[in-house]
Amino acid sequence: MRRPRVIAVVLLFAALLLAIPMEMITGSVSAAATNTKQLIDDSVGVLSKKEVKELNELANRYGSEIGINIIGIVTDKDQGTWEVLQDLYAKNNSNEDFSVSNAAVLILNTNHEKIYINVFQKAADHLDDERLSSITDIVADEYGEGRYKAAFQRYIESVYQYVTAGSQAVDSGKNSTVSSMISSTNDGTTFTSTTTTTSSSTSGTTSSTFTSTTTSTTNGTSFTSSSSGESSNGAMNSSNPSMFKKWSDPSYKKGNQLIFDEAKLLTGREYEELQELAKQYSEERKTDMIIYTTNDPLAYDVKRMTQDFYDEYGPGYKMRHGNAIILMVDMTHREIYLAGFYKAKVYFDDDRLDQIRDKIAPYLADKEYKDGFLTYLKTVHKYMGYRPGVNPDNLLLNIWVQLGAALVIGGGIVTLLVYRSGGRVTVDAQTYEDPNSAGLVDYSDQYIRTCTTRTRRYSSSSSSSSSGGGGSGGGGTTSGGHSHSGSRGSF
Amino acid sequence: MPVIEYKCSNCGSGMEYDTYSEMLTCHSCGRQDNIQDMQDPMTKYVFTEEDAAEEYHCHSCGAVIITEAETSATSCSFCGSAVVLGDRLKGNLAPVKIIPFAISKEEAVMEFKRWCGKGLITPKGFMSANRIKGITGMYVPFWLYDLQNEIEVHGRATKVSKYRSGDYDYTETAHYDFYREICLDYIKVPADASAKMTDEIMDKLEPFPYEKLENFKTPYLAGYVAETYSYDEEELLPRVKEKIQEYIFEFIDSTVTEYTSAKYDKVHIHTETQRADYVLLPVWVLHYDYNKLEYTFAMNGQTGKVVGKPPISKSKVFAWFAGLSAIFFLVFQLVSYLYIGGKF
Repeated sequence: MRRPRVIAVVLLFAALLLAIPMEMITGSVSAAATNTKQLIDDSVGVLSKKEVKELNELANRYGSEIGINIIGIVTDKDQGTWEVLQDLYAKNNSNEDFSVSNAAVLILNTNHEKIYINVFQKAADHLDDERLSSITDIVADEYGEGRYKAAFQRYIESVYQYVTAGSQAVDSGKNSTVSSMISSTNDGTTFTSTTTTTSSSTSGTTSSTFTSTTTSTTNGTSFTSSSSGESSNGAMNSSNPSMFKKWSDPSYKKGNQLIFDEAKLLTGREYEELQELAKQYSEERKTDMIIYTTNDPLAYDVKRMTQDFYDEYGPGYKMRHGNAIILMVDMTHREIYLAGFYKAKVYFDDDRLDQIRDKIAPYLADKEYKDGFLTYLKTVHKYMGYRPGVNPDNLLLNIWVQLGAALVIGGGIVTLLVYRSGGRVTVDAQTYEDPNSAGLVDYSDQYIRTCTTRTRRYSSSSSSSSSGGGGSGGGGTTSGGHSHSGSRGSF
Repeated sequence: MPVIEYKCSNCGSGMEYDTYSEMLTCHSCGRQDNIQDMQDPMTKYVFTEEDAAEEYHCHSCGAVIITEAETSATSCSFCGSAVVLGDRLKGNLAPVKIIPFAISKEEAVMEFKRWCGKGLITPKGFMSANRIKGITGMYVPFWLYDLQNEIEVHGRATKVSKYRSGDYDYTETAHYDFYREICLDYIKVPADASAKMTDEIMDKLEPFPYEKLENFKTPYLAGYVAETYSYDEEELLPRVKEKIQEYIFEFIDSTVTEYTSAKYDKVHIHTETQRADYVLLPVWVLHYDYNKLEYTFAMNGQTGKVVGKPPISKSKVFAWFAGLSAIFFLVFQLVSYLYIGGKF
């Protein structure tokens, strides 16, 4: 009698504990699975089913946001791009699957060890040769190391980033031109194509064999953009004294500088240490973790400064204007701003940025800049290990809280075991009650009065710590068209 | 003749109550008598003053029967014959009803061993249950009360409702005065009348199957130990009242569930004893030696339920504690991992 009951109690506990988070997990998965198109195809089998599914979800999510079919294909057939696409299109029932309208198509040919990227209509408007070749470089990096999933993931992310990053000047007639040309010819020469060829080194070295890049634009369909989006939107900037212009020179980017201590808050050694850590973390999370400090008397709005810095310097992991999180410290106005771009925007919503800001503001207020920046880097690195939407500071996820809870439950069950070892009372109120005579004979309920109290609703957004000022605003979009999340406060 | 023995009318051996056939049985020749049809020797005999003896002698061997003041049935410690002390079962000491044993001695030992084997935190040596020192079938005196209760409750209660409007949270608390009049009857609430048995253990032995109650006849006691009550119905009434008080408050609580909170200002419980019957209920008492200590266990003679504090192995308790904690910790970690780790 006793053993099954104990086991049942244990199982019940376990079931209860599992039930809640499991529901969250399955709930989020099923929500993401609705209305997905087939965009990823792997006929060679270098990706696992799970990876294909994940990539497909990612491609759908990003693709639907920018209105472009982000297609990725692995093949080993000796076919041209067009045949591959036609095969796939014919194989699938839905008109949506592998449709080339407004599409970017990546084909990894494992037979030739070649990468083909082709863009159609809207995608062609946004991705010029320069951008395509930079995407090709990124994909080639991963492909060369045999990381197929990463290759696709980076491809999907970069397409998304470039398309959202700002429009190439779009001339309205071009759309129709491209589509008509596609329909007229059938040999795959009508679109912008970038081809990266591998030198076929057969040695076992895993170092990248993707060195030579040839970009060819065929058939006179000129997609070269006449004017850049940044400059056309630049008018919005003009009121600001652009103290970040100096960073716009791409040569700065080569140094992979992540800490910009213009306000000279750090000693040389501290700077080196932080820069080293930032580099390591940025590499691990594939996201540039940037700190920018300024005490320029010309400093203006901290959020605008952050945006302008992003536009000018164009930080991003292995690319310009890519994944980046920026901590802007304005010593002139004693304000800080945190902004997450692209991948960092997904991982750092305004709430998470608020949490980070609350953690570092006290350090900055106490002039412990190094510790503050260290906390920033560590927290950013840690939070990127948590799925977006999950609160990383949730007490239930804390290892010590979990250990404590496990000990309490274990102790509780054991106490119950010891307590019950001598037998227990198994009679209750019903055992001896005479059901025929039990009952309420008479009753009355008299209302006397009602008291009403009211309290002002506590709003969590202005709940920053004592040393951090009120956060307002959140995210936004830079003049260059990069949307970001954000958190702002003083210290 | 205050000492009653049951001799087989065929062979003259001592007869005992048999739990399988529920009859008085002769182990020598197998003769069985139906107890409810038998004439109780008690009713034939008219006791006289001289019978209130201080000393009882065994009819079979003539030895002095060793008894305690409460003993009403036992066996001769010399020849083992079952004897019933008639003068301690007459007049107001006469039980009204009895629940006979349904579990024989062998079954009781087996049942106890089974119970020991199931102990999760008892030491290994105890689990084998091979050190049973003694087992006694004992009819324990109980009073069964039929109690009629009239309850009046005055109290105050609140209903709280919360809502939101604009920038404010509102809490509305409505206050009430209430009155409840309740009739509650409890039937056959048991209270053990033996001074030897601890109340805590006896309470845990409940419930006894009352449908097995038989009219009392002395032959049921043949082969077992029985005691007379140490406390009378008046003395035990407070204990029974305390026992049902908990149930009564449970019932009162169930009449005010529509309120968020309720406070009882005045609770008046009037309890009337409708009836109190003196009955004997069957309990196996086991003595067990473990590690130079004696442990006592009681078993319900009808249901087999075992009660009593077994020795507890510290290492087993710790092992359970560590094991369960580790399992829960791993489960937590796994759940968190699934929850937070899913990168896209």
